[in-house]
Amino acid sequence: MEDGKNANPLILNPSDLPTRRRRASARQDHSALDVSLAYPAPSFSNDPFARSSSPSSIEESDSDAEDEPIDTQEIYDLIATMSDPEHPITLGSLAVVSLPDIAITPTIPSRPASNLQTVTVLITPTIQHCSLATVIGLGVRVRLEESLPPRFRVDVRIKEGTHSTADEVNKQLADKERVAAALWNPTLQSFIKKMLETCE
Amino acid sequence: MAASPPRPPTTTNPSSPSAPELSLLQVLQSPASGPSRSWQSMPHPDPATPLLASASADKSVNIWSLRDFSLISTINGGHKRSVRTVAWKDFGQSKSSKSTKKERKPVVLGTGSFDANVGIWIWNDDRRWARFREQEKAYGGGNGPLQAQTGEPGQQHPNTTTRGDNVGAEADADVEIDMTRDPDEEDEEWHFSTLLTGPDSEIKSIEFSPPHYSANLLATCSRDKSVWIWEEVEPEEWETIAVLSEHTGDVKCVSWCAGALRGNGRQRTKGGKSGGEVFGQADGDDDVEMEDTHTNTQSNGAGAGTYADHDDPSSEQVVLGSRELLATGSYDDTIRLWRDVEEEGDWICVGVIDSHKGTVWDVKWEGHINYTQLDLSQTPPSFQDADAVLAEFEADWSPRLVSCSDDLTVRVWRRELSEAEKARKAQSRPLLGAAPTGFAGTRLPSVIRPPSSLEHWVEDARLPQVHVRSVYAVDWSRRTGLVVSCGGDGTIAVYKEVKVEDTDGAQPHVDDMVMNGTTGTGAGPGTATGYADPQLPYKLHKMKWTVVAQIEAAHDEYEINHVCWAVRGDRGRRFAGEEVIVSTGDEGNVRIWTLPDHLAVAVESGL
Repeated sequence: MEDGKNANPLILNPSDLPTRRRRASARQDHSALDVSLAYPAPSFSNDPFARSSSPSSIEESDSDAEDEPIDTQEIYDLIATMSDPEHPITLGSLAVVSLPDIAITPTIPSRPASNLQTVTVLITPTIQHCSLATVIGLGVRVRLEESLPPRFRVDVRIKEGTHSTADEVNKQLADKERVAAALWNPTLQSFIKKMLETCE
Repeated sequence: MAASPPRPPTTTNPSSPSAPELSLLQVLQSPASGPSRSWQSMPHPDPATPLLASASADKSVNIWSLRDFSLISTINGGHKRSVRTVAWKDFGQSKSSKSTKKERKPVVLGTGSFDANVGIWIWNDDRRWARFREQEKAYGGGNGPLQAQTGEPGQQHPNTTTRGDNVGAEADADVEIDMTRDPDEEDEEWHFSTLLTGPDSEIKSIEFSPPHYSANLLATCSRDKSVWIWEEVEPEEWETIAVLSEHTGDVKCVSWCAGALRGNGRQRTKGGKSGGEVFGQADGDDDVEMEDTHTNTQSNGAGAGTYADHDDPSSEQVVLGSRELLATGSYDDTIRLWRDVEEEGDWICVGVIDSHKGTVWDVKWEGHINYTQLDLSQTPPSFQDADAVLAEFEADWSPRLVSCSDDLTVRVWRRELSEAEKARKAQSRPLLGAAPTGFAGTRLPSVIRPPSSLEHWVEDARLPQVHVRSVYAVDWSRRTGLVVSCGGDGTIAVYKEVKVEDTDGAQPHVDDMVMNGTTGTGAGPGTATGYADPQLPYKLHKMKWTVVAQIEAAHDEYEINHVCWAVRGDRGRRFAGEEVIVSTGDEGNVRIWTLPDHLAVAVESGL
């Protein structure tokens, strides 16, 4: 466990992970979409942090989007398949992300007419001093911002009490400008690309 | 340092539903092929050059016309990463038509990028530029006969990226063309003049100093926690004169104190009446005259400089409250103030404001004197005395700061003079003799008096809270005094400082902690400019901030990264000097907004 790395993490059995059986047609649509969401997006070299407002976003291409609003399970499916940068294991299996730690709330509760929604994801690093917590959080934020329609605001934070420098990490993850700038960094880019390799 | 500021759980905002909406005037579509974030848009400071520059994440800068909203050019190839920030060099406002023979000022743009570099660009296309100015003059509302220019047709500019323009047919006798320039450079519409390198990481904000400073300065800031000050020692030759590194987090914004024009750029009406209508309406765009001569700012306290147009003595403009002072906001949650204390290049931090509970995204200086604050109801009736009161008020006027933050607040800050400074000021009131002498400043043991260069800044007001996500930008209109803010919630809000009516203002604000969401502290703890401060030879109304207009989902579902005021330049403007709001969003577009009719008229008449 030196250098903030966890050599022997607890791994959940894939069959224990939360899933949902969906209508075959919807499921099909969704997996086909996931391919188009695979990182990096075509526009990546120009603007690593561009929001996808095009048909690649789930909601707009789903014909029955109104019937099926995006829920926490769907958010979970988007990020649980990402892999840990230091293990070839998914974030779901490592319980870095878990369904109960995902919330979707109205962004502006005092204005019911607004369709903005905030997705909050609390991540649980495998160990208290995990040196890669910021990178994992960054990857989760990027994955969601790339995949979700622009009306979603994404907040990724470290779950309370699970990391020694959580405040510092949280502040960085909340800073849109730092996130945008970080994605120009080739080292970080390759980290994130690796994390997204396991996403279909 | 709260890492995760409470997001939505704020209480409802009582002022928002009733505030009238802004009207969308124009959408400037980003020419990028796909969605690409735009970070910031800045109008040229001279309304006679109605250009708007937009910084784009796709490494380019778009230049728009604020006259017809067309895309004039796109600057590519200068930066290797996103352009985060743009700034125009301010040479002062151009002369009115009668002084067309005066030398022409270049159009200079600065760009700051995530590639850690700052670029300085000069609009290279003399002919196009000259014709642009001619059109401006023609449009300018009959400020003189349009002189038909005849002359030899100019050289062709075959490779400019200019759109829809017959450049070669342009004729101008008035403009000298620099024939010594390298012919290759002629091909570039925007000449890359200078590359400033040095900071270790992304540039977040840049700003050129105001034209009346004693030197041409440029402030830049970066994620490496530093603020750099550069001086243009020779034309197009910049030197680093200071690297300021007291911030403990990346520095998000820089802003130079520019003071305000006496009368806020409007013509002064003799014998001011009661209320706020001390100044009449401006009669045109070109009533503001400034020269490049600079003033000597006093080393401590507000300096005042006079800018006289020698062609027309009646249009003298005076800058009040200007100091060569830089404000910066940071990821470390603080605002810092910097000054060259000895005026020998010895820049130090002279003030720290540390009350924000999150990243300070933007900070701007007040550039408008709120004359409505002055209570003239009980002054003697003679004009002489009214003028003297006004003179005292103006002499005391000192710009405040407005800042916005990740903590979701927009706050106004005011400098509090030390007891010694107040005493000095009281003794220097020859006109009214109203200030008591023997002031209490002597009670303070000299050992605990701060060195005179250090400044004490306090919270003056907290604006009504509108935003529920990070507040990314704020701007304080120099013409109307209105404040505008925007943020991640997609809302644009406009605030106005107004008098507290006697009914709700009778009670002094003892408890400045109570802010119920609509009223700031008005006059906060120990407000030097207090309501009935016996030290002052004039009376001030108690003031509060109120939301006067707003628009939700201003960029549809996208976040808004920047908002600012610009002088309206299109043919639909309602009156000379009207201002519009320019907002810049994550989808890459720029939107132009107008105020509701009644509000636009009210603020223009100084009400």
